Amino acid sequence: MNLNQGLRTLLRGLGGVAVLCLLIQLLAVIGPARWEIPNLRQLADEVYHFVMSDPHFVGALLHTMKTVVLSLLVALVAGVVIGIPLGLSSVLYRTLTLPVELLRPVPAIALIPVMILALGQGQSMEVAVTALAAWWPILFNALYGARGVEPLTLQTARVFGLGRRQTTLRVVLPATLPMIVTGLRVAAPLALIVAVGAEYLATAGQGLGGVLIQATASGNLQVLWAAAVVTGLLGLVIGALVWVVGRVVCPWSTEW
Amino acid sequence: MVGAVTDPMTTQAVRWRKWMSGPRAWLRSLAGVPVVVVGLLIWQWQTTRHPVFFLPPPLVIARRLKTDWLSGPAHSLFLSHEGLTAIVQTFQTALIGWAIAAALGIIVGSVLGVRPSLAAFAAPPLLLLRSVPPIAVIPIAIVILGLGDSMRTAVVVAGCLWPILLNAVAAVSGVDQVLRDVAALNHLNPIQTFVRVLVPAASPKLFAGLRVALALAIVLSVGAGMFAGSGGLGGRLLTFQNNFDVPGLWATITVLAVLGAIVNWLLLLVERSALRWNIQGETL
Repeated sequence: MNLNQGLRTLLRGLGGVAVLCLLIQLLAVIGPARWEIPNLRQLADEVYHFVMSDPHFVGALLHTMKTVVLSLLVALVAGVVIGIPLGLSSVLYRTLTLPVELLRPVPAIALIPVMILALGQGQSMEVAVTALAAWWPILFNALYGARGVEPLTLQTARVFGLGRRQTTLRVVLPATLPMIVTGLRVAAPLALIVAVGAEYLATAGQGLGGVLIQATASGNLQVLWAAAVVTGLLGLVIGALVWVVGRVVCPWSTEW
Repeated sequence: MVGAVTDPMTTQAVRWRKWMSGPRAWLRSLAGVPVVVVGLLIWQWQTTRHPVFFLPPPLVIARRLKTDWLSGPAHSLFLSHEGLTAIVQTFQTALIGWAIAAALGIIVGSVLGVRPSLAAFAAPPLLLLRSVPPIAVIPIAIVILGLGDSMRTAVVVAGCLWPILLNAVAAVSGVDQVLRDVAALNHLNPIQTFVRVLVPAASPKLFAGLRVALALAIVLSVGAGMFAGSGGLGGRLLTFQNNFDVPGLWATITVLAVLGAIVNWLLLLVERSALRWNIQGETL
């Protein structure tokens, strides 16, 4: 892409954002009064108010962020460590497909009550539930990535006398990396959803979920709109983080 | 297009298709049965020996499943009245919301997919909107729409729209230009082109987005019920949690998992018959 084209795309994107802002402004004026959609100025005020006046807010933001990052790490390690052997060994794959298929449709959000009873209302519960949700896309991507490794490269590794461990680490893992990164990209927004949900349902008032509880209790729609914007921005940041990680870890991937 | 869902489940669909074709494939999957049986036995044995508060033995859960859910008459598939009501509440809103999101997402996504310049305009706002976790929408929906079905449906639509829309953009913009040229040469009007050329050609990817969204729809419908503290399976989960009724919780989770699997399987069947023309594995 040459510079001119890039500039045009950028300008168009900015134009799109401007249109979105106009739409919000329009909805604030002509939208149903009951919805109390704030106009941009009020929205900005509310978000600013949110971030600045509440000393807990930054802590809450960091709390949620920490939960998401920790759980993604756990899911990544567990998904790769279990997924790659499953993809490489057809015996394991055949015997474990059925149990995995049986466990997979359990929605993570339904496990939150059980986890609260098992692990309490702390961050360990939040991380556990979130990691469970983020685990599936990473597991399956690692599995199919490992299954899809070019047989020729495996044979080459064998010709070079690489052992099973070395083959896995030096051939299979790099070849699977783009798929794993894709899995991570799918898992990240899911993790944010489940993390905020777990915080909300734990009623211990931690993280952004806690902020949402307070805002819901106050019944103040303007605060709720601002909270949605802030969580959206957090989603954007997490998405960008995962993108950067993916770019750094496997720059050759074309999956964008 | 930035942020289109590259679906890990697409590969799963291919595997399913292989799995479901031919009797030997069925036999092969039976290899997992002993693993499941042994797992259940160990679970039963260990939890009766050392009772764990949050993990009751499978037989206890099964008994609860029977009394809570499967005590009804045959004409309602043996489902108990209460259970059936909860299931219908959750899955009705999930499916209606999903269908609305699918219609909106595919139409808007196709328009954006055909016009790359429009897509360039829309990409950043879409990225912003997609980043808002649907969970944050639930409280707003509760305040505006109350605790009923319309709230849950709205939440499902707000959550499912983005994966379907972004996948539709990616799918339609990936349709071979030759196909579009042929449509233009045959003087198809835009609607005909959309229905007869674009949607079929893009359907493998469209289905990938639809399946991701379907799982999300169920999660959101349950989640909205949990947040609201009433309605459907989510409301029941919350009640069981508040009563520390762990077997009841697990029985509900089992019901959710089974129904989720059935709905997903039905969609796969639809997909399989709709995409019969598609060479196996082309969705990869």
